[in-house]
Amino acid sequence: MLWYTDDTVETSLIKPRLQVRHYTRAPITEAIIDFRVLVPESARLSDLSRIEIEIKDRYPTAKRRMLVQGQMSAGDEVSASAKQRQTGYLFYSADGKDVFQADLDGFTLSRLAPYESWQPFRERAQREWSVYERFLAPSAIQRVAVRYINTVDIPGSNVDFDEYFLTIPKVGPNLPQGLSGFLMQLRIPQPDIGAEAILTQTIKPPSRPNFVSVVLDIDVFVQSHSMTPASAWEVLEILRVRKNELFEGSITDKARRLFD
Amino acid sequence: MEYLAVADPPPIYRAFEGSRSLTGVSGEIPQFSPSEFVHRLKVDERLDREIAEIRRLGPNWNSYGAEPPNAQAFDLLERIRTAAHSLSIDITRIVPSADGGVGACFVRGERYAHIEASNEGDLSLAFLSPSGESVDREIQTGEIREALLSIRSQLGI
Repeated sequence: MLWYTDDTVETSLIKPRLQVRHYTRAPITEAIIDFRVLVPESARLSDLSRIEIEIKDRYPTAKRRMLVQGQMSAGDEVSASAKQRQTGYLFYSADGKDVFQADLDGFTLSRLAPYESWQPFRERAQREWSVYERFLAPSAIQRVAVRYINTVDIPGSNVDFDEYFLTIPKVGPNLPQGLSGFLMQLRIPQPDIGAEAILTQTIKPPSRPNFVSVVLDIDVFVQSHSMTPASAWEVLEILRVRKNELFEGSITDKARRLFD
Repeated sequence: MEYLAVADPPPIYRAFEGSRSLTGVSGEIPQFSPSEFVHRLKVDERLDREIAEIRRLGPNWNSYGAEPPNAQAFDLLERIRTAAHSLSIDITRIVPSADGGVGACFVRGERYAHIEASNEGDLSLAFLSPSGESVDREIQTGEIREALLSIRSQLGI
């Protein structure tokens, strides 16, 4: 799977295998574009703090992103210690819906609900990436990901999941079929595009009374040590198509009717 | 398979996805793309657990005669939570007050602040400096957002 090591991408791979629909009430809770990068050893947090000044009009709120490391040892004596250090910044738009995470090892743009569409989201990501790239000068991109977290709100307090999902945990037929909660995670290789998908599904506290809220979280990524920014943006398009296929392949028409 | 509603739902994501601040640790490429939604979900889940524990407190819970927080204090706490959520400010911990009430605490390194909601329906904002000096003042319900913004500014959260 070396097609992404240069700037040429087989665009035929972008052709969706499943029909992808546009929903008027898409259940997207968060859309994420994420690049993990290698930056020069000379890169410092002060380089990231310069980004804040550059984007202040779009992201007026900045938070420091901290890495907390803890250690616990057990034996004759039990001891625990923890330390924290800053790894980057989180920048928030005025309404808190757009979140730009700038770290010494990566770039992430999130869009929280309401989500508009891919095109403006991608354009915003490219704009913020150009700022990140200018100050950090990454030498390589090691991981490119598209992650969409959907929350499917199903009316009713007793719901048959099989009516809404094609991908759902399966309980043996001789066991009681009632579930009060579940957390399922599948890692699904995507060998045709050199990617991998992590599909996580769980129940969260309902968004509204008399509803059951199911999270369908699809994270599709490519890891490589030699991606250039240009090829990374092309790869992103392929991952988005695959993400849509994974979503459509995991739900039923009854679920689709909830979003139309 | 059918969903059966329960009063105390299980934790979400905890088994699989580490804290947002752990991504990129040890120079390894993280397994997940960092999510603000999952981060907030986990913060909410933790705060819900802390509140559930506080709701179980009875009279004299600290053996010094403290009253447990009442419905009025919890209502005010909910307002603080909602405002903190809208500002993307994480509450570090929720604790009961020995004076009768409940507090939302914010900690960054050696700097500390809290907003306390009393059983009488009063709100107070307090800052504690690393040297141990404290500043405490009453605030009105309509000033919660401004109080949180001053906490953000002083603590850098």
